[in-house]
Amino acid sequence: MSTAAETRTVPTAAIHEGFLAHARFRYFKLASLLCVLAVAVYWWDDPADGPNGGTWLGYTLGTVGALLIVWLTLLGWRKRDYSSRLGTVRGWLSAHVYLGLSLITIATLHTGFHFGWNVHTLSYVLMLLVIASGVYGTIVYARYPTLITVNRDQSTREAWLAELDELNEQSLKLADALDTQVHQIIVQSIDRIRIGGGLRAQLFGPREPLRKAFAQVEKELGMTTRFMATKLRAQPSMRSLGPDESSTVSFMAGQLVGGSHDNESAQKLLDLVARRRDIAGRINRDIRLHAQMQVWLYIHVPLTFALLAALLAHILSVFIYW
Amino acid sequence: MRFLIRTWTRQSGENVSQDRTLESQRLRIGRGTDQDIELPDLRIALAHAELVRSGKNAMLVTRPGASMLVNGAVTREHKLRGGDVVLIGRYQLTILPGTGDIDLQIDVEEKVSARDEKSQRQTRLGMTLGEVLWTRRRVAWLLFVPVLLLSFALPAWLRFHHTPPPVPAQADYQPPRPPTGLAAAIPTDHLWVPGQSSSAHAYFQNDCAKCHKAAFERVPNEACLSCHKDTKAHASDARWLRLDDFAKARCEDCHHEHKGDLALVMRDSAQCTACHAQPQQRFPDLRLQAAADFSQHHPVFTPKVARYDSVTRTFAWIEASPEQAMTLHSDTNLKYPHDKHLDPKGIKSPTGKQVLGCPSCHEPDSSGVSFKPIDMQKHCAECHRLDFDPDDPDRSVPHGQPAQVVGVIRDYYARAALAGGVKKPGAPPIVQLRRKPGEQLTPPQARAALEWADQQSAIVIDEVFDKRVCGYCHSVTRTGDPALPWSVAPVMLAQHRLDHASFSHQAHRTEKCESCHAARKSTLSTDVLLPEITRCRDCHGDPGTVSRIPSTCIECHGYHISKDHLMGMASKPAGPPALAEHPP
Repeated sequence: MSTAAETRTVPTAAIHEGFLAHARFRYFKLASLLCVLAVAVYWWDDPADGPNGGTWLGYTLGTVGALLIVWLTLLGWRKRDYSSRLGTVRGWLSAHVYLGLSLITIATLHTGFHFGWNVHTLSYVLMLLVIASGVYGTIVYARYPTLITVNRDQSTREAWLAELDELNEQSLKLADALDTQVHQIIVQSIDRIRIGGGLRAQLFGPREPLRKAFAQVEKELGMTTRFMATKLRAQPSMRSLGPDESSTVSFMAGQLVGGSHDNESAQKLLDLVARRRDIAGRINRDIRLHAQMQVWLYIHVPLTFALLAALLAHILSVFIYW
Repeated sequence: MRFLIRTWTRQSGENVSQDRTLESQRLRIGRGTDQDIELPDLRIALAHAELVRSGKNAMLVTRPGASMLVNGAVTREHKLRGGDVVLIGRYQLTILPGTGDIDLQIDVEEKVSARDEKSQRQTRLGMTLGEVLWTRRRVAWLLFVPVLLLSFALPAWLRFHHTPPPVPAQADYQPPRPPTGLAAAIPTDHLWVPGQSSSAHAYFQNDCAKCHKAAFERVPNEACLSCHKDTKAHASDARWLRLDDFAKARCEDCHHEHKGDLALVMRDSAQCTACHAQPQQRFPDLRLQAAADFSQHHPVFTPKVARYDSVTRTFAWIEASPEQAMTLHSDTNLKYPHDKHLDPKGIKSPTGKQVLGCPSCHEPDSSGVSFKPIDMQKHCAECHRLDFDPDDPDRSVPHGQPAQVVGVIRDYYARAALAGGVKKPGAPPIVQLRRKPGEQLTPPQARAALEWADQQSAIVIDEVFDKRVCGYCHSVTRTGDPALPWSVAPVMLAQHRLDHASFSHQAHRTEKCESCHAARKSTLSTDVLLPEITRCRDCHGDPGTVSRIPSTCIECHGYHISKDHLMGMASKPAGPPALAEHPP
């Protein structure tokens, strides 16, 4: 949330893009060569019944494509097998990305551009979906680690959570010392803090607190404090506050301006609340970045297995009805 | 009111209670030390709620801004009954009816310790996708199994779990109706159809088993031949058909299904040239010329031409070749110069000059491949009249029946001589004299008249056959037989034949006839007007060419051309042995 953190010098994206440039783009070159070769042979070959999966080239491309899919699936196994000596995981990942992309060419040429409502096109469509989710994954793996590092600002989520609890406790104590009403407001604002949540909350941030709850708080605080708050919010230091905390802040501001309490304590409480809001925002952003960075795997991996099933059905059905 | 307040605490793993009684009109609940029930939780207000008497009952009321949960619902005010559970902060207050002098018992219990609550709150938060989603492995199986079941296992089971009934003969065959309603949603082997069926077979495309007899076996020829019964084999020699090249040939080698109408008949010349490029390499005793392609390596045309044997009066067919010009003529036994008939200035006719063109005589037949036979009555008779007596031009002889021609002429002059009044120079008076009504000739007179008639008809018969009528177009010979003194040689109108190729004149109708046939320069009816293959190559080229019309073998040639043998015949157990001299 803090704009200052983003302008600071951060580790460059190169660290996370490493797998793309692995071994001087060896697998990019290999995959490109494969595509160029496939297109060239497809262009040269002129089967009498038109290009299709049943010509010699069709069978060749189909075999290459099926073997590639099986091999690409094995990345999941290689990742977990730490004792494996079959190349580095980084190399595998690099090859996985580029050879996976080359499948678009290989499989499309294998179809000969014949599509229909059948298991064959089902396999093709599933493959494209897997590749599309993989492309998303490649992009987020290249971008998000940097964003996460910037957001973390050398802290950790666990430290933030501990701090948040600490801040809640301190603010309650401070509020308790100030006024019963202040204490109530703080208790309610603690309840309103949303960290994480379901799939939607993790991916897009938690929902705003309920309008009803807002209305209740506002009503209780009364017209005076709101008027005071408006005056106070016009000051530059208050402008960056989000709606999440606005009611708490309005109230606090009202208390401050009213001068009915110890100014120092109130100022301290206000700082605590602002810090709390910042931390909650960072935690939610951290959760959101992680969720967005990982959600594609929940599509990529299961769809891969759907693809394997469809591929099996595709190959078996072709040879059952040879 | 008297209250019994029972406070539960956990001490070394056990719940311990501490009781105290209190008599008061109102019971104060809050965090403050001055409260009757003190609940040390920072989220609870110093004075949070109050229990006040309300008639016979007790009423729980929160202070302004504070809230509580009574039996799970957020409440500001509640009339207490026994069994009510009130949650304030971490604390749970259970209301029980009092016993004896106690009006109300309140059990106070800290539900969770402050530390536990903190860690519980954190674990309740959904902060990773793993907490809110099924594991990837689980979702993977949830997709893998249904996809495999629906797209493969179920269709395969429906197709193969029972033996399909034998496919009935073509006449009785009814393609299965496509399922309707819910049944249409059941995945069947129709999901495996790789492409559009050809239009000829589309009506049974839902019946996979009609062609795909057994799993993992290619479509057998019998599946095709069960309908296409009369399909001819390739070779006419049964010994050839026993060779693997033919016996093991599959219909599907050339006829691909599920590719629309595009590939139902393969137009791939490579399949033909695999053998025909060097036929002798595979079949040494074969008298077949090599044909590797059309543009460069294709035999010249060797039409079958007719040779007339005047002794047996029959035609025989021999192969002629443009390379041996001497052989390139075909006997027709007609005198027909094309050049005279096609004279652009016209040709003499009884009604003046007539300009003729090819279509005047050559009418396309219904197939469009060739032409209707030339018909004397239709095409020739208008000019070539068959009258035999200049004084009586309306009388003519019948065409094609020499014996009747002789009879007609003899009868004509016999009747004329007997009837008299014939104005012919040199005729005897009895022939020239007109008869009176009722006049009868005496036998000597009649004999004299008939003698003249015989002489006259002999002259006319010779003239008709040899010069003026028959002999004008036909080849005639004197027989020496007084009854039928002339014979007309039989005619062969089918001039030349290409047995192993078919040429569609209909397909070439936009071309002018003379662009291929040199009829305007042909002076003899024996000329073979078949163009040479070079003329074809002016327009037609090999598959793949861009400068000509790409033409494959089957544009002109057929595969199923055996005279006597049908496809599938070689696979039957009885039959002549394969050629022994065939190299392996």
